[in-house]
Amino acid sequence: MAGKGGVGKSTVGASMGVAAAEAGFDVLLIELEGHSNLGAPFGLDQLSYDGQTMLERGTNLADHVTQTTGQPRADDITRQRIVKGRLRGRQITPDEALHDYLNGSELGKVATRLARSGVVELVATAAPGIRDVLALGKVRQLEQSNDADLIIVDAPAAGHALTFLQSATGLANAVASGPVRQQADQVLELLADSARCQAMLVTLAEETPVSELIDTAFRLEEEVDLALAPIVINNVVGNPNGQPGRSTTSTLASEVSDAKRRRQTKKMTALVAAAQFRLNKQRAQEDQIDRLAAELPLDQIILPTIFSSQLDLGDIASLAHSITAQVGDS
Amino acid sequence: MTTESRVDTKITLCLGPGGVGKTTMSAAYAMAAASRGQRCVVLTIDPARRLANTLGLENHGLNHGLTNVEGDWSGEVWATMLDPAEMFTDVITRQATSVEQRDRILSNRIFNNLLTSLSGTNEYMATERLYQLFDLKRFDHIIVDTPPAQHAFDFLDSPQRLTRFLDHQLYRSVFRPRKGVLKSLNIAAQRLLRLLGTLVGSELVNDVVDFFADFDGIDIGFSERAHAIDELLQSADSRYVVVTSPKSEPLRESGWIAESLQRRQRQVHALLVNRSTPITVDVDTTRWAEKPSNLLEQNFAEMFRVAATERTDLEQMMESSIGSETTVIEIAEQAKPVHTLDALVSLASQLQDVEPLWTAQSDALS
Repeated sequence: MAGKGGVGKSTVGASMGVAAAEAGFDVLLIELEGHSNLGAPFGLDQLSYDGQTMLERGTNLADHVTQTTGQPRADDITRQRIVKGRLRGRQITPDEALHDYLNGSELGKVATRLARSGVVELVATAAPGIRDVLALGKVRQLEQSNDADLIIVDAPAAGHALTFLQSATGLANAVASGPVRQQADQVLELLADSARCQAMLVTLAEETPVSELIDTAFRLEEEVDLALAPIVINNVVGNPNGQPGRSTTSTLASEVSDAKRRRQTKKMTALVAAAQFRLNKQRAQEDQIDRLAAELPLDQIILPTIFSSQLDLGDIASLAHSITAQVGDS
Repeated sequence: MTTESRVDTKITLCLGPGGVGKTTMSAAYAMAAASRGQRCVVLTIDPARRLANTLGLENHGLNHGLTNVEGDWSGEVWATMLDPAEMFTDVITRQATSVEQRDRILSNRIFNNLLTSLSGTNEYMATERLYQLFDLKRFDHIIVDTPPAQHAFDFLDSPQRLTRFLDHQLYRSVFRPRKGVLKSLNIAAQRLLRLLGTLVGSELVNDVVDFFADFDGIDIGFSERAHAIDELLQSADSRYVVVTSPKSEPLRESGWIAESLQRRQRQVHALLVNRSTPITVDVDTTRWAEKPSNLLEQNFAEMFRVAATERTDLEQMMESSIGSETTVIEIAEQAKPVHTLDALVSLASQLQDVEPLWTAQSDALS
């Protein structure tokens, strides 16, 4: 999962994980660098390096949401939904991956001493890609061990995501041999293999995020040789009252023109202004969605705005439902 | 402008989570200040090329040099984008003791790797660029559009980190052995390096050793400059403005940013809340949002709930992370995006009325 900051990349990643776990996949959600709080909606404070279960096999999602959030939900999530697979999460930091890697190498204790001496830090400062490659190397190792059916990685924000994914190429250029070079090569192989690895880009339906996403998409394909999954457009304002469809099908517009003919009380003026605001915003977002479709020939998954302050498991489950509905059985 | 303000350059650093309109706000901030007669420059560090678009400069592009933004203000607005490679080359050229040394460094593979990677280098080069602009003594006000969220601290901390690195005992023992460090320590360090070579390949280690050996003599200049930059960022000439949106996730991050600033003994001068839902939360609107009976009322109720949540979340964040005495400026969301110069100017006028911007020779803090 990649996207610029503030587009809800982590939320979308978690929702994707729930949707896949429901469909029967054994899913592993990986958080890098630990700022995203992936565990919070699942009642987990902080994900550990070794991993925790977020949703057990056979969980009744509706009951579980009621249990975690303390209240049942009125929308479609209350329908019978059983988690046929399972969802686990873990956090991978470069430092821990390095430690792990050194411990696993034949150098053993000496390597640990090496890490402690600061020499590694010194080299990592000169060749910063090392840390990223080690984190990606850990992901690759998990992929190879068949630990899960699907691994979802919450990558650093775009721009930085690009650098992150380019780290292996950079390192392969700087390092001619040795175990780290081997790691970099294996990571490159993973990234280039579309059967094993794809990038799912997340954006908002706004001018700058869409432009950046298009730029990132082309660069990921060209510079990292990474295949692209459908694009997720998050936080799209729909019609009021959760009615499906675009602003053109909304009856709000006609209500606005009706209301304008009526007596303009203070209240009526405010209602009309609010409706006008929503319609304008919807139209502006739809323009961006169309532009994205025209410039980037990839399928789109459109996720609605969730009007709540702290996203809870119910919101995540509701987004997961929306994903399932759009992705279908594919 | 008085002559003494010519040498009295003030700095405003805009920090905030990604996607909240930091670049737009930085540009609007500069325009607001220019309308008060200040000569301003906006420095953008964000790798994304947004500032040029925002300022309507996409045809000219925006580069390392200074680009003038024409507008209806008595001051000046200039814009510049960090080009880390060019900056690094500048720095090496300035600090190198000989042409040979400069060429050796510029052709080193590690140097080129440093240039292509973002980690740390860009941020340090950004502080160098900031210092360069400050040193020009040509601007009243430098507005810095920092990288998003935690990367802003890579920027703020980079001078100290470099200093620490160059002062590191290991660095001194391995790479500056002629400076009279104990020989035994040096041998131990060499052994560690050989070990490291088996792990990452001896070529890389040799490159690193060569690279730092090439730095001999330069590092002192680097270290001094890093100290100077750090002092500037700590001084009363630098102000910190946090830009956020009123949504819960950006607010959480902004709270973290504010706390991190305060931990570094830097006060949050103002909080700019961009794109708040344009509905006032008061007795009337609360009543109107109750029991919606038609689509207009349902829409209003939905938007009211969003606005009310924003209010509560913002107040909570202020209370726990910033303190309620900090100036807060709310900018209502525009249904249509701000990407024309005119829209930006109108945004700037909103900042103008409320923001106690730097004014020449008058410091609100003193």
